[in-house]
Amino acid sequence: MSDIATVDVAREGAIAVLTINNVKQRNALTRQVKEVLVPALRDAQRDPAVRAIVLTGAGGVFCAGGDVSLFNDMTPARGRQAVYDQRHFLHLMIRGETPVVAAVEGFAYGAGFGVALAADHIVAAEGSKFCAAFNKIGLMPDGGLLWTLPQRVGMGRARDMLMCASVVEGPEAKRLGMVDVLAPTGKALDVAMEKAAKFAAAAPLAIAAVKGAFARAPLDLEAAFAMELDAQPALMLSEDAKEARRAFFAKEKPVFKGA
Amino acid sequence: MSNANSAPTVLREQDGGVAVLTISNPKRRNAFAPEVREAMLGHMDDIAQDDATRAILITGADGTFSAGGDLSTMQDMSAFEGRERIRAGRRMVEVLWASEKPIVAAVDGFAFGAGLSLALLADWIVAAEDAKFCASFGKVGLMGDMALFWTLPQRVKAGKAKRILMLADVIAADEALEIGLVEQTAPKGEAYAAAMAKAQELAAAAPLPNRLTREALGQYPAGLDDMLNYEAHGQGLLFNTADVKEGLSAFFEKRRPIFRGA
Repeated sequence: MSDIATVDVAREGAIAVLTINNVKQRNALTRQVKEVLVPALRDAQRDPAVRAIVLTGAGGVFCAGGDVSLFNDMTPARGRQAVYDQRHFLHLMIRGETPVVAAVEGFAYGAGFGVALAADHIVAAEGSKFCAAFNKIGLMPDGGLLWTLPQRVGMGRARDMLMCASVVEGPEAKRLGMVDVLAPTGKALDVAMEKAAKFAAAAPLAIAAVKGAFARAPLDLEAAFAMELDAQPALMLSEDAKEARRAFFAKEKPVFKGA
Repeated sequence: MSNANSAPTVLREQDGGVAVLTISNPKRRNAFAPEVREAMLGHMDDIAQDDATRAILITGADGTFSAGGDLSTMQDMSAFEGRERIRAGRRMVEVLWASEKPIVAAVDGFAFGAGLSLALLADWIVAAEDAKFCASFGKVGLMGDMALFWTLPQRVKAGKAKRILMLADVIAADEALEIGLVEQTAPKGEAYAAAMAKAQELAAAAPLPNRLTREALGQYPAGLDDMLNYEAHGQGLLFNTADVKEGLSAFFEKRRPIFRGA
């Protein structure tokens, strides 16, 4: 663990592990961090050998939020642009074809909360804490929370968390459906790696189609049928679907190649 | 609180930055009669102009929230009169939904029919342990209204919403909390105090970002990029407000911020 704000990139089989490493600032998303994080996520999303991405934070903290020091003297135009630019990251998380598992220890505050909620699957340690802290400094939620949070917790809870900046701890987050798995403190990454292995073993083209459908939420019935009609015939002809049919009749485990 | 002359109305009181609106229709368990609706609209209009009010608490008098529409006024109603009634209900929904000040509901006793619809327009609902929720419309041969088909599925999952809207099951406070129909429960007689605490919390929160947050969430359902655009536009406007300067100073000085809505 160094003093330099960065993102550590590691590979374990088909899983890419991205670790926000800016421990001095509790993994705040400084410009320096973002300059490494966005390309690292793009590379992982583009690499066909990567079948799942785990996103976590170093030093027992997920991410304490944005870089508050940049908020002073922000003009409306620059502020708007700064928030607008977050979408490069959010699109890679939400519209990218490879599933992302977040492993959350400690704080996931403000923009860090947004990063966690943009993941497909969220593993939270018992000692984790989530908070849309924006209102405490007079700001509104960003980082996609207006879209992601109500999908997971319903409108009543979302309004409270977004308007009162209420803190939600790991066990309650699990009860509310805000996170998917509760892990013992210190074990979120281990559990996330197990979950990521399951995503990595699944048929990648099918996963990409499902992820694409969820990224278009809310879908009305016609749009949902259209998605099925566009994607399913191609999937039926894929090598992976053939392999799955072969394995099914041979009573074996299929091995998917993403083709 | 009792309404001496017992005519259907909504009473207004003020507790600091919180306006309290109490539905009072003692002869009909606070049924949502046209007079109640008009009184509510009048108060909402006043509150919208009142900068000192930062949050709204809606409750019912005499231990019940609202038993629903006033059936006595629906006898011999023509289809076109019914249509006007629904349009008037829509005005009520739009005023509450578009309110720039957040709304908390304190529910004791019954929140049936239109009473349920009204409660669901609140940002935060506290149910006393004797509270009962029911989309009772079907029992009198009607379908849910006052936007229930839109608000209910935002809080509860599709299976539960179908059960509530199709079977008119009565949902008790504990189950309401479990399925996300309400956000908080309180002992009998204590829903008001719990709701007031939440309303005061909302009143102390920075009002400008919450106005934008409420407006954005009010547009549900919306796609990802619509919401990302909203964030960027809204946050850009907020960045150089006096409240953000205050918020940042308070953050660095480790004290509580005082937001003025400017």
